[in-house]
Amino acid sequence: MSDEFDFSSGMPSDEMAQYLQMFVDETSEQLDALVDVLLVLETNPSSHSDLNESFRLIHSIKGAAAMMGLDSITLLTHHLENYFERLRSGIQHLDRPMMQLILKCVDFLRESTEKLRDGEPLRSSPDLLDELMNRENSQEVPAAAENTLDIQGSTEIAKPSEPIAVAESLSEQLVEKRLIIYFDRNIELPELKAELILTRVRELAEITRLSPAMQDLASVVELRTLQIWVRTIRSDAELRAVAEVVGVELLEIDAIDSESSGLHATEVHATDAVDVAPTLVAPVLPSEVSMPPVAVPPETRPTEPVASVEAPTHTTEGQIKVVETVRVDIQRLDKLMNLAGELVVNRARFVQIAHQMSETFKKSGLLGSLRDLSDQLQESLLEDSKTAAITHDQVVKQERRLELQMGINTLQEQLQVLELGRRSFLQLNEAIDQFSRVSDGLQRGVLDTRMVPVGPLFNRFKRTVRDISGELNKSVNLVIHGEKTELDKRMIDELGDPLVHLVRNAIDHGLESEVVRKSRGKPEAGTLTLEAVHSGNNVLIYIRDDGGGINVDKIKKRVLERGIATPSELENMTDHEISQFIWSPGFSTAEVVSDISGRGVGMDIVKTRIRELSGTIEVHSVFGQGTTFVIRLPLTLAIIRSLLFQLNEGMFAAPIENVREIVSVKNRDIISVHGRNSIEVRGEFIPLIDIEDVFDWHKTRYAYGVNPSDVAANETDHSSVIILSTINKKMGLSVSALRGCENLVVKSLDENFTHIQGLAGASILGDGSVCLLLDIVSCIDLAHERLRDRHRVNRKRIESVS
Amino acid sequence: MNKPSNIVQDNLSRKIAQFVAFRIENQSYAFRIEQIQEIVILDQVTKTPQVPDHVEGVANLRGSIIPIINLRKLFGLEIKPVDEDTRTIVVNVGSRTIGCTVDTVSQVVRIAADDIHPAPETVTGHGASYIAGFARVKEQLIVLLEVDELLDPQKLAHVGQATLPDLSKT
Repeated sequence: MSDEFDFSSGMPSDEMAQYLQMFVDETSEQLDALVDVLLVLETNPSSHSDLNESFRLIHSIKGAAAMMGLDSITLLTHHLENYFERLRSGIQHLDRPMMQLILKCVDFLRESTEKLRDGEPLRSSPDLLDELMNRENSQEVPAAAENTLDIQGSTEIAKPSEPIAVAESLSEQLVEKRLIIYFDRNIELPELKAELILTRVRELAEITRLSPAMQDLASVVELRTLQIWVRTIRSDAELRAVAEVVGVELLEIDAIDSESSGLHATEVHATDAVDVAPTLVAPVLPSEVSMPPVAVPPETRPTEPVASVEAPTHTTEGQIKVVETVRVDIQRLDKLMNLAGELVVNRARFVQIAHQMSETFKKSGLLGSLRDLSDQLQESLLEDSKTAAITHDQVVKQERRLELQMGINTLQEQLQVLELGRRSFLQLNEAIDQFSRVSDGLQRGVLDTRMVPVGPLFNRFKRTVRDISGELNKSVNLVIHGEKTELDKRMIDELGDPLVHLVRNAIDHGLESEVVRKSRGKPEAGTLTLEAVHSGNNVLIYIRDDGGGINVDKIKKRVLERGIATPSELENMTDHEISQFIWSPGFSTAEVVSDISGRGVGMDIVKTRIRELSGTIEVHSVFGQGTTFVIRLPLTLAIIRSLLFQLNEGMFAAPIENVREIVSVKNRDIISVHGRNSIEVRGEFIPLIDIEDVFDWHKTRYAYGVNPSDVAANETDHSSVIILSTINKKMGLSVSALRGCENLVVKSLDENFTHIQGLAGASILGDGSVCLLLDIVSCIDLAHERLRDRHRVNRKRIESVS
Repeated sequence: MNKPSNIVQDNLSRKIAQFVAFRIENQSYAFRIEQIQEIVILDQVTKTPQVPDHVEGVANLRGSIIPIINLRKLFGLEIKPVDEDTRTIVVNVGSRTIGCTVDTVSQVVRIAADDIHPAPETVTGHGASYIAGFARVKEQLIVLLEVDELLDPQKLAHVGQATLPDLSKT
């Protein structure tokens, strides 16, 4: 694994590579949590508990990064930590530019963890570091290389109980400290530097432990950090003076609070005693555990601002939920999922075979009539033998009779076997039922393991909304509903980008400027709602804004400019139909192409991404009142309950959610106007569509299996029509025959083939054949498109004739 | 993916390579054996809409759904009904698995590198870069096809349009 890493840019050392995954996962979570806290801090910058929580999170990221040898992360978090330390102690206050900077740092850290995940080399963050340091300097705080203890020592002028004074007064006491030395990555032979430093430190202090160990110094591939545990009476400043030599980029000094003396001997940054204990007994992972998550202020100085740290510290720790979890590679889950899918297909096969066998067995008719026949034969034979026995003369007949008798006996034995077989078959049926239950349960179980709440995904948008609204100078309230709704993990991962796009669009294009809002009598701050709800086998995600809605006139103009449609076509279209043009590639109506949106590459990509998740997206807009996007996603990518039906072209399926009802329509009840058919269902006119109206089928007939014309042959005076519906559209599809409902394991056509518009995928049926799963939303779109095209062609033909 | 020109070199270094030969109409073609996953007899192919003529549809290959491409149609010939000789050669193109229907699969042939001749430029020049070379085995001419070029989704559309070499002259 380490081979992939570029060691020159601070990559983890060999032995740590295995912890990398864990680090990446944990750090991502901590960064998420950090952003949450930061956003709270933004509104309430002096919230102590949140400052502490930020500090704790940054600190633990730093600790973990240091353990992994990820210097660029360690360095940055170190400075961040310094900054939060000052915030916590009230020396500085969180202002807006600083918040911006911190968020940038978080972005950098996030990017870094992503890079680690992908095995890419990390880059350093000189800009961010410079900026951080500048701010530190501008606050007249000693250079960044100072450790937090010294910073306080020399700057907390306002505090009555001067830390330095405390330290000096206690200078006679031996104190355990840890020096962490970060070497400049460019120096040659850092091990020599290390030895030099050790020699110098040894003059002042007693070295109790070293990491890496003395004998290993020369053999460490690239020495980046050196940790020295010392026992000394000297102050940090003195230690710093000897240890800071050319080539040392950063020096940290932790005071280690050993037993009771720590109460006075160490400053507010003293390591939490709880954390120190493992440090001393577990030398293998020193850097991980010895970094204090929070300071424990001595009780003797309750008046100090930091003293209030104590209470929140404990509450935060107490709040940590203990849920036992296992991290599992998602690929393993995918594999399990596929296997469960296969199992369902197999089950379907069993069910089908059993169904076919039941013709033979379950209908007792065959067995019964065979038994009757054999009984009758037996009877007539007996009667025959009685009469024959009287005559005594037909020996030949007697022999025939014996043969017949034997035949009947055999038949009866066979019948018994058959009867046994029938019973076994009934048992088999029971076993299949049982098998079905188990496989269903297994499948559901596997699905459940993949389900995660949508909350964290939504919460990420707090940040996005804040950034974008800041940039665009609009005030936006983000409302989140249904964050506990669960979705497949993979979908959550894939949904991020499309959602970002929609949210950006909503704020940029959707919500009006404050002035306009005021003039329209709306509250100045726009509201953006993210909502997730369950609906049958689907999850619906709403992205709703109370902005201006889609401007149909603008779209018309744009459509004409781009030549996507002709004016006469537009005339015939409803506003809703016209708004659908936003999904066309390269379409954008934004007057100003901003950095955030408006390049028109968005919506079609959003649609594609959602489609890749077997989902659909629709837009509803009321001009002046707002726009709502509805994303409909299957609960799982893998299994969709569907209605199967036969069409001339083969077997098809439609998700049961899209099937509103099935009606039988007499041919004479079909209303045909301008070549378009429709039917009336309870007073509602619904377009009736043939699969030929939806799809282009090439005319080549490859002869496999059922000849399509066979099916078409048995035409009757009425046909079955499936009423398919989406959120706002309906369509009747005439079908040749219905085949019932089944749970289909949906397979992608893209994998080996290509995406076909109008199809959501394919599935393997019990008999091993492939059926195609319709994507109803795009089917309806396709049908509309093609009917329109046909209309256009017809009209042209008429025009050219006249 | 190897370019056709590399194959010839590969073969030169290995001297002998194995090919699976099959017939379409009266012409023999061959795929490199490494590119072939298996040869199957399909009884069910589901027709798919919105695809070119040469795509018969999709079929179930032990739980995977693979597209089936009719090579006759791809080469611009009329289709003929499925008969007992009809076979589907399952090949791997990149990460995709694709089935190719051919009239009949004849045999595995071993062809020495020396016997492989680059196709004349007049043949390969017209978009028919999927022809890796010609080989003469026992007086029979075999057209060696490069699967990756032939079934490349981007190039598939052009195959039908490219004029097939007039093999009677070679």
